[in-house]
Amino acid sequence: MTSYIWLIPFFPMVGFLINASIGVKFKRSWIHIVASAAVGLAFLCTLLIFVDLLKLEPNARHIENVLFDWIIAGKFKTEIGFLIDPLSVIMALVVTGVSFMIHIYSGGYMHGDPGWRRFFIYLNLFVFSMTLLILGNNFLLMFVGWEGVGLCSYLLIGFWFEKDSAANAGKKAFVVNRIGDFGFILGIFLIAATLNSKGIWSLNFSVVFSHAGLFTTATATAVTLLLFVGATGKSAQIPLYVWLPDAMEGPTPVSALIHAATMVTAGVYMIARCNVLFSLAPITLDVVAVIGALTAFFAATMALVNNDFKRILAYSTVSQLGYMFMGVGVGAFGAGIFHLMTHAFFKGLLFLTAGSVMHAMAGDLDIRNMGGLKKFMPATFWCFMMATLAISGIPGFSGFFSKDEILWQSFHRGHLFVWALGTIAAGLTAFYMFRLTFVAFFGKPRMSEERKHHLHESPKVMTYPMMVLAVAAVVGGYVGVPAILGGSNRFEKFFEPIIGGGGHEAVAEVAHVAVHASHSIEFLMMGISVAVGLIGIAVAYLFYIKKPEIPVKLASGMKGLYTLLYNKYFVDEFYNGVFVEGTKKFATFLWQKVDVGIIDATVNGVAGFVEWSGLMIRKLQTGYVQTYAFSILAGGVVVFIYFFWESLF
Amino acid sequence: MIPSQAFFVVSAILFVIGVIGAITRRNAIIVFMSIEMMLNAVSLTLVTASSTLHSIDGVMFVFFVMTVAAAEAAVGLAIFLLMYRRKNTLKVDEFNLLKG
Amino acid sequence: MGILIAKWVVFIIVSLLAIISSVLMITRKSALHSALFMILTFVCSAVLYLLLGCQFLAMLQIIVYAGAVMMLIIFVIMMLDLKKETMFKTRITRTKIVGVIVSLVFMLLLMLMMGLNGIKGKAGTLASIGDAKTIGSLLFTHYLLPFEVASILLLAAMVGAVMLSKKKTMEGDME
Repeated sequence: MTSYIWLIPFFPMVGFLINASIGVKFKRSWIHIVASAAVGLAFLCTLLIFVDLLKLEPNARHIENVLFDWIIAGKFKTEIGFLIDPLSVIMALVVTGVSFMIHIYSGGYMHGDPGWRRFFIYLNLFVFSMTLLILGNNFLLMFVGWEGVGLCSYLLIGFWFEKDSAANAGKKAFVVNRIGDFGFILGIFLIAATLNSKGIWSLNFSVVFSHAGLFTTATATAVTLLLFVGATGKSAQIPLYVWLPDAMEGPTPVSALIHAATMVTAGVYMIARCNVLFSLAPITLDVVAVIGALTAFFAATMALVNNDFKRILAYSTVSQLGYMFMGVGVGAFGAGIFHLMTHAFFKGLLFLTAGSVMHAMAGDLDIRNMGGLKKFMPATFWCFMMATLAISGIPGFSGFFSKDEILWQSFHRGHLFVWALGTIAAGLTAFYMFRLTFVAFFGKPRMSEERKHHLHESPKVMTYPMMVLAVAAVVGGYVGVPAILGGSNRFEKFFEPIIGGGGHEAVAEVAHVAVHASHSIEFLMMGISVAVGLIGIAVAYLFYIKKPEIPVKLASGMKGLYTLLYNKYFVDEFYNGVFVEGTKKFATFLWQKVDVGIIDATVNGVAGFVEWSGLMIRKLQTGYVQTYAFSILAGGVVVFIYFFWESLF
Repeated sequence: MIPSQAFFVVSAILFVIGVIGAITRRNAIIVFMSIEMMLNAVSLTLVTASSTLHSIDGVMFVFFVMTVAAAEAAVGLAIFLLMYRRKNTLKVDEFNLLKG
Repeated sequence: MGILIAKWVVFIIVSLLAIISSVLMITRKSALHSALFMILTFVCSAVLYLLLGCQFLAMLQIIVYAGAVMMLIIFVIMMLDLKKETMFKTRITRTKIVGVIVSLVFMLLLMLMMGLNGIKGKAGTLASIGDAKTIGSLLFTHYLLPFEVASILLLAAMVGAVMLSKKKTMEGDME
């Protein structure tokens, strides 16, 4: 089965092509079946490949499948080829698995939408691009997938493009991602340039990483910083996170699939994939860790006061992505990917429940209009509860293992600042998630009577995928139970071969810091993070169940802080004022001064001169025969004078 | 023999008189006749050359010039008829449709 | 010697007559008068051809030019009622003045060039260039192709003249 890696992207591509071409003639249900089946088959293939991979020796778990040559330019050559190793197989499992669930779910959620076929075409195209990104065995193929998912993200955010806000959100996502992608491709160029100058004409991961020794620290730092710029764009980190909250304008399954579970994690995946290069650049790793921690913290604070169900989740996603970057930033690549996986389960689930709530609430997402939903939609509530407990880091749920692993790794590798911010953010996460739970699902219903009348549980096609993900969100963490809790952290072990691949010593040093911290400290850390989470939950309980007047008082008491948080630190306004308006002003200057004043003036001047000289010359064309006769005569005289002159000398 | 230069001078004078007629007169028929005059002057030159050089080529040229002049006269006069029908005049400065 | 003097006398008289009549031709108001002076000029040219020893062309000149072509012109003048065309004066414009001056310069140049240099070229061997036999035999041998082309030209001119002067009939006017 391992020689059939190409089947994984192949099936979504076929699904995309079928629906895009002959899908016109299909019944609505067929379109759904084709799209879901395509992803389902891809998932099945991934599972089979995963099983095959597990049978291999840990060090042999690196299989490349080259299909054909793609670009040959002089000595440079790159091919369409796929790579399976522990990293990509985990990603592929998560992506195809979650995608499969969400494809099924979408059949219920998008029910009756006029864009039904378009939606599934985009979704399949997305899964195809995402699997290309993950499975590509070279940087260029990864970049193709990277751009493909960006395109699909744009198309799906602006899916309801008749709505101005959706169209604008799509544009914003596209433009912001463009900045990141620019950095990414510059990084690829720099890699290619560095290697080419040393005689290596390939961008294959295995070739690049086995020649990592050719990078000086400075070059490696530049390359990794550029790659990280790409990651901040795609994975919504400071300073390029602004597009993700707005991306919630898209259909909720899209938010779940692209903007929570899969695409936004591409940056983390890319850094993990390039861990060899990143390990060569300690400065970049520090930058990554600090940016991740700051993002985790600030995004969490922004989620505290928001009242939009999906936007809270969006900020939460940004914050959780920050955790993943913390993980990879401190050198714990396995922990980062571990959190990526659990996050894909619980955050995908959270969004699906949000979609379910939205379905029942006829599209209203303001949590102030909800309340008491527990009674009306029990299945949704319990799924939501599982995911909330997981994200809050309650022991026993998946989020606990992965988040704790990251915090512990950052602590014992000496990144105390990162650890502190991460721990505070964990408390904030627990608080805002339970605030959301208490406000939306508990208490008295606050919606209008008419809407209350219509409240209903979602159809089975939606609840079943949610339940599957709920199970995954709970048990997903048990593949990585740390040794201290009696587990063997199989995830970490499974992951080991890809870390520092290529056998570069410096890499190995960073990645496998042999710290034998005492178990008591590790228990203490675990206790702290659990305690912080519980405190967050307790405060939320106090604020929104026991004494609902406290938050109101707090909001009026700390008006400045509240306004700052409510307006998301005015970052959007700042970007708008500085970059958008600045660009507009500059463009206006170019338009009115340079274009109109210089370029147009030159072109018009040339045209004007031609017109003027034409006007002058046309006067010669009098239309009178005798004038023409005279011209002939004058010409004859000139010719004669010439010959006369010749004959004289 | 009379030197050929004498004939050349005469033909030059006749030619230039034809030119002056062609560019000053407004009556199309007189312009046309002036042009015939220019052709005639050229014919005279050719015959002179032929005679001086004892070669038949110039005469042959004149022969064909006459043919062309005859054809030109036929077509040209037909055109004058059309012009007259259209504008009821033959003043050449009334016809300036080709003005730029 | 006497013949030469006689030739000179004839030459001078005929040349002067030709010049005077051509000047008169371009200055007459009436087109008909111009045409008559034109005939006179052409006849003078025919005499000049005779002086050059080219009898055949002289005959041709009188028959084709002074006869046929001028006949045609006079015919057209008579057909068109050109009475009012004789009423307007020659308008003198700047272009015309300049044109006349340039023409005179042109004449001076011509006379200088041709008068000073005379004629140069490869001399032929023919004793006579004027008799019909020589011309005829050459015309049907060496100059056969141009001759045939000239006949096509004449045919085309004939058809063209008929087509042009025919009154246009509208499609619907057909009776």
